[in-house]
Amino acid sequence: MMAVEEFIQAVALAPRVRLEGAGTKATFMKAAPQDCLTISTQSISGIVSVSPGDQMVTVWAGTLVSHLQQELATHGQALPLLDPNEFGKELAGCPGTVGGLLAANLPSGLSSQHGEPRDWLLHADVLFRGQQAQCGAKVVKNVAGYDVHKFLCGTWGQMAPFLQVTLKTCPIRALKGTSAVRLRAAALPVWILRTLPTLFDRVLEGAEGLVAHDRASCTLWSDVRPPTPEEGWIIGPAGQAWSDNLQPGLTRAAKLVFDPEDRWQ
Amino acid sequence: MVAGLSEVLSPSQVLAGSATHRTYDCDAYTVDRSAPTCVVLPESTEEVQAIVRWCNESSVPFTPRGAGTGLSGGAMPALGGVVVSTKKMSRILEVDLPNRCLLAQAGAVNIRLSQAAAPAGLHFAPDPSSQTVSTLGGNINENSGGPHTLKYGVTAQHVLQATMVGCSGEIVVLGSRVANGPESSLLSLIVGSEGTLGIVTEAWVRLTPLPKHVATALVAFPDSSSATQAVVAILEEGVVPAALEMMDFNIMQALRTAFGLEFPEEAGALLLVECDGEEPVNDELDSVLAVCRASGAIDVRVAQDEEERAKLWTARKKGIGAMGRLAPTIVTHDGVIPRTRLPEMLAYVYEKASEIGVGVANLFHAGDGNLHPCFYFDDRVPGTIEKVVAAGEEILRKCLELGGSVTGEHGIGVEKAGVWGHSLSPADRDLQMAVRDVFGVSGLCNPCKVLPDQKGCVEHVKRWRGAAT
Repeated sequence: MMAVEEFIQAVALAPRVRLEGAGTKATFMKAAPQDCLTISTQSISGIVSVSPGDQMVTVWAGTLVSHLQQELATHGQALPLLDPNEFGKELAGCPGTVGGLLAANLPSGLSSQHGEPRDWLLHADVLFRGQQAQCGAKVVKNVAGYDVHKFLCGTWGQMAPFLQVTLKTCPIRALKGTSAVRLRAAALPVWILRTLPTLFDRVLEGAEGLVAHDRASCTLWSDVRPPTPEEGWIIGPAGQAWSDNLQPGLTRAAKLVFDPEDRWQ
Repeated sequence: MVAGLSEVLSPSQVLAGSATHRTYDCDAYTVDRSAPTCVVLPESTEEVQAIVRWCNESSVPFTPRGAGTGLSGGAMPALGGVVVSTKKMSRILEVDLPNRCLLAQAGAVNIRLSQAAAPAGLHFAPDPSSQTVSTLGGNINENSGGPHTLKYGVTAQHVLQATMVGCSGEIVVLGSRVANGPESSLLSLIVGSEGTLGIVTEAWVRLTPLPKHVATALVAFPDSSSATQAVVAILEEGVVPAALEMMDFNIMQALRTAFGLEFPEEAGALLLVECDGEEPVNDELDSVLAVCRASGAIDVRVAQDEEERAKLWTARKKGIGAMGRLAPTIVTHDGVIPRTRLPEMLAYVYEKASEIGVGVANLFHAGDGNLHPCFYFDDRVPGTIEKVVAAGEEILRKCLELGGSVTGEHGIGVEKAGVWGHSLSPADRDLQMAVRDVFGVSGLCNPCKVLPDQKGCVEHVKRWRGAAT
C-alpha cells in the first residue's frame, strides 16, 4: 500500500488528530486536547518531480524543507527562504516540513521581495472530509475555480491538510538580498508582529525582547509580547493571535464546512 | 421589477428596455447571450446591499458587472434578472502613499489606480490588456493577469482588503491593509471567484514602486518553435524578466496590414522581452539576448529610450486590434501549460485551426505558459462558429493532458463550465462547492457560472447558444 493511503487510513481511525511535521512551529499552537492522537506527516515525504524550466517542484507534504532546498539547489532553484543556519530560524520562516511551511504561512526575511509560502503554492492534493481532493493547477498561472489551496495556507492544518503540493520555485540567480536584521537567538517562544510602514518605527522602539526585524516588510520577531499596533497583526505562542480584521464568524463557518467532525486539532 | 428597484434606488439608477437588453446580454465573450430584465447603477456599498436584499426578497437572480471586458461570459446574466453595474462606483476613496496602498470603489478603472499613484513613483502592478477600461472589481473577480505578472504576480498578490456584499445582503470586510496575518485567508477565495460569492464593492490594493531601470527588446526568430524554445532557455538560465511575450507570424501579418509596422521579412515569430529593477538591468537583458541568439534569433532591436520602448510595445498591445483586418470574427481562447510544453502545444493549435479551415494567430504570455490562440473567421459561414467552439474545447483538453489548466486569466464563466467541470473528480468538486457553503451562497448570485448547479442552467445553455447565431 502506498504511504499516503496508509496515512489516510491512520487518520481515519482517530476521531481527533493533531498533525505534526518536524515540530519547528509547535510553540505557536495550542496544546493538543488529551483525547487527540498525534500523527506525523513525515511518512508522506519525498520529492516527486523538479522542473527548473517551469520553475516548479512537486513534493509530499512531509518532506523537510532543508532536504528540498538541497535538491533544488542542484537545479539552480530554491524556495525563497533565508538559510536558518546563517540568519536564525525566525528569519528563515521557522522551516520544518513543506506541509508545515504552508500550514503556518509565516513571514520570513525575504517576504517583502518574494512573498509568503501562500504565494508560491500552485496546486495541492489535500485531505478533505476523508477524501483526497485536488485544487489549483501545476502551472505558474491559473484561474480555474476557487483558490482553496491558497485559503488553506495559514489554517494550521485545521481545515483540510496538505498531502502533496506543487510550488513555484525561484532561480537562485534571481534571489534578492535581505534587509532583515538578526539580533540574537530567542530565549522564549517567539511572537511575530507586522504593521504598516508609518507605524513600524514606533512599534520597534516600544518592543522588548527583539530577536529580529525587517523594515522592508515591517515585521518583527521578539520573545516578549510586542505592543499592539493600531493596524496590523500579531501571532504568538500557544495559538494567541490578534489582527485588525479577524473574521471569527466566517472562520467558524469554514471550520464547520471543511471539518464538520472537528477532527483536526 | 423596474418599479420595485426604483423604490430601492432612484429611478434614474434603473435601466430597462430593448437597448439595455441588447447592451447587457453579454460581455466581451459574445458566443453566448442572455438578456437581463433590468440594469441597476448603485453608487455605494449600502446601495448594493439594498439591491441584493431586494433580489433575495423577490427571488430575482443578480449578476455583477464592471466594464464588461470579461472573456468567458462572467458578466452575462445567465438566468436574466438584474445586472448590478459598478459603472457609478468609480471613485478612488483614499490614497495612502506612505503605506503604499490605495482604497478604490469596484468600478474604478485599473489604469486610474496607477495614474493616482504615479506622482509618488508607485503603480498598481496588474496590467491586463484591458487596463484602460477594465475595473478593479472585475480584476479582483477574475484575478486578472497581464504581461508583467511574470515578475509581479497576478491580482491576488496585490489586493489587501475587500469589502463585499454577500449573497444574502450582509456586508463583510475581508483581509487587512497589513497582509498575510493570522486571520484565515477568506480573501483568497474571493479573488478569482468570478462574482459567484457576492459583489465586491471596494478594496484596498497594494501599490508597487515603479522600476527605476527598464530595458526592452524585440527579438525576431525564424519560427514560433525556436521562439518558444528560447522562452524555456531564458527561464532555465535563471533570469526572470518582467515580461516575456510572444507574437507569431499571423499577428505580424495583421500588424503590417493594420498599422504598417515593419518586421524582418524572414521572421516567423517575435519575442518581446522586458527586464526591470532598482539597479541597472543591462546585464540581465544581455544574458537574455545571448540565450535568444543561441536559440536562433535572427534580429534584435533594443529600445534606446522611452519612445522606442513604447514603439516596441505597440506590436504587443495593438496585436488583437489588428486582427480585425484579417477576418470579421475573432474568438480568443485562453489556456495554460507548463512552459516547457509550449512548442508541442503551439503545433497542436496550428493543426486544429487548419483541420477546421480557419485562421489562428498567437499573441500570448509565453513566460507564464499562458496561451491565447486567436481564431479568425467569418461567422456568417454556416457551421463555422460551432467548429471554432469545438476546436477551442479540444485545445483546452490538450492543455489538461499536458498538465496545465483550462484558464490562466479569462476565467471559467459560462464558457468553460462544461470542460472544466468534467475534469474534476467528485471529491475535487465537493472541495470547490465547500467554498460556496462557507459563504452561504444562494442560487441567485451570478448563477450558472464556474460550477453550474442552479436549476435551469443546462436548458439555458441551448438558449444562449441559440441567441448567438
